[in-house]
Amino acid sequence: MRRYLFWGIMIAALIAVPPLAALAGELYYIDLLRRVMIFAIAAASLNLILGYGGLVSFGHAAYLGTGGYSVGILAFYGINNGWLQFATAIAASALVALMIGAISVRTRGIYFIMITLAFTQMLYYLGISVEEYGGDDGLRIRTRSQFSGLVDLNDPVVYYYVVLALLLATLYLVHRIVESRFGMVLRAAKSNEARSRAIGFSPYPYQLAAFVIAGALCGLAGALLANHTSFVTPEFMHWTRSGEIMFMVILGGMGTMPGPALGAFALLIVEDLLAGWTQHWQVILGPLLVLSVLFFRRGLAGVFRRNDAS
Amino acid sequence: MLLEVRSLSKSFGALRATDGVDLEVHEGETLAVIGPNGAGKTTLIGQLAGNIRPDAGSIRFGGEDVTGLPAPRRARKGFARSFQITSVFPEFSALENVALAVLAQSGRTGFWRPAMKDASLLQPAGEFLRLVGLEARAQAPAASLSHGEHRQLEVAMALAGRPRLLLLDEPMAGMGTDESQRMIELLGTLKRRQTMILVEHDMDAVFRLADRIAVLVYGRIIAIGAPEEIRTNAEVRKAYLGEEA
Repeated sequence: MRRYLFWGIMIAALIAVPPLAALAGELYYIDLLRRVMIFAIAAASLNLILGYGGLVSFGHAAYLGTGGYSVGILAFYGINNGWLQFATAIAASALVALMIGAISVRTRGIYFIMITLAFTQMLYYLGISVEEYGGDDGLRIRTRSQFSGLVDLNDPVVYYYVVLALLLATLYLVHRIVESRFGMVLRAAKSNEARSRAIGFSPYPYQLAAFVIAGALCGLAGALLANHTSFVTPEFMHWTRSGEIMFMVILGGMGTMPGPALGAFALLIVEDLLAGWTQHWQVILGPLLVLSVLFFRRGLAGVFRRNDAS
Repeated sequence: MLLEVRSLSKSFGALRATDGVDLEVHEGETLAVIGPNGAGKTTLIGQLAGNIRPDAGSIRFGGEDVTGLPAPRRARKGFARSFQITSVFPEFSALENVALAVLAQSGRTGFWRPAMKDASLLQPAGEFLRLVGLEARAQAPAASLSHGEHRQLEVAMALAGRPRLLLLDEPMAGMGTDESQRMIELLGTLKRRQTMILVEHDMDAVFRLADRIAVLVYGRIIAIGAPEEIRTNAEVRKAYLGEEA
């Protein structure tokens, strides 16, 4: 029951943000939390393979970039249909994940980390080198995705609620997948690979499928982020971005349903607060992150769960 | 003939862990493999289950050559093994562990419906837990089970795959007397219904359960036959049973 209370409070709080921000005249917070929730979607997608599948992908920003550039490039050619843009973003990210995953999922441990990192760096340099789409400077998106007049992403509050709905949908989707037969096998392979082989599972197709689903969901986050900033740059795919997303998952609690969202909130909001206070905010953030990992062994979600038990 | 092993060999460096082993297992039979420590018993089980690739020789299962098949494919063909060192899914409950084995056998997957609300998994999983006497611990995380319970769980998982051949690698290892007796009784109830290869040090268990006994020494089978033959075989007594027998 505590669990429902937790979700009820979280969702109510997020729903209340735009009116409260408007009341306080601090519209900036709508923008900030929208960005946080977009990263929460990315982190939730990584959680599927990292937290439940045990695949330490250090290249998740690849799909953020693929999704973002799908929107950016289509907009560049004057195609502003949002349905098409988002479908392309998700499909292209799934395809990129399929190609990277087909090779990397066969490897384990440090090799897997390095291969996913290497592929993402390749995409990053590809983004820098293609002058047509702005190269290093990035690509401005003049018109945001158009959804047949149904939703208007230019309205910051509407866009906020769209992102909130998609975040909840993503968390629920990942939850359903994890509890399904497919998810059982995925988690079993993480728990004890030799045992899962012995009872008849070949982990590879399951892990690859999870890798593709995670890539597709992160592509959705990329498309949202491109619309959020009205801008895509190769920075979307930089390895530090991959690290940030991974950190959100670890901080929030790997393999827990709310973990990635909690991690994204904690990391980005602390980052924002510190940045407003001093320009040397990274000097403070670093040690804070180290401490948080040391003290919250099971992530922020673990703190809530411990309260649940007592 | 369910299983037919021909001149199976495996070396680790200079060590010949399996040295030209020939073995036949008939449907419904319980074959015990005994031998001193380091005789190559676990290596043999590993090759049968597909975890270790033999250097030479062939394994035929149900008339089909399975020598080149990896472990998951063999499991789906009807091999199931328990591990000498406990190997379960520690984060999952006992019931979930067995349900996973049922799921593996079902060959069906799905992305949406919760697996642990699926009666076609839960019901057989619950029955196999009951069969091994673990029904009271169904919801306990596997990590919290005692050593003996782990062994029981391993057997339940192996059985849940509805195997044609059950490979048991020292199921009684590390068990107390009571637990051992219960395990022997359990395996006794499976006899005839279930073809088994039993690797075991507990001679009481071996002589009570086995239809035939194979004696493995330095990777070679030095004797194979009915328990009475093995008990009186001079070579076996010298090599292995010593004064005890």
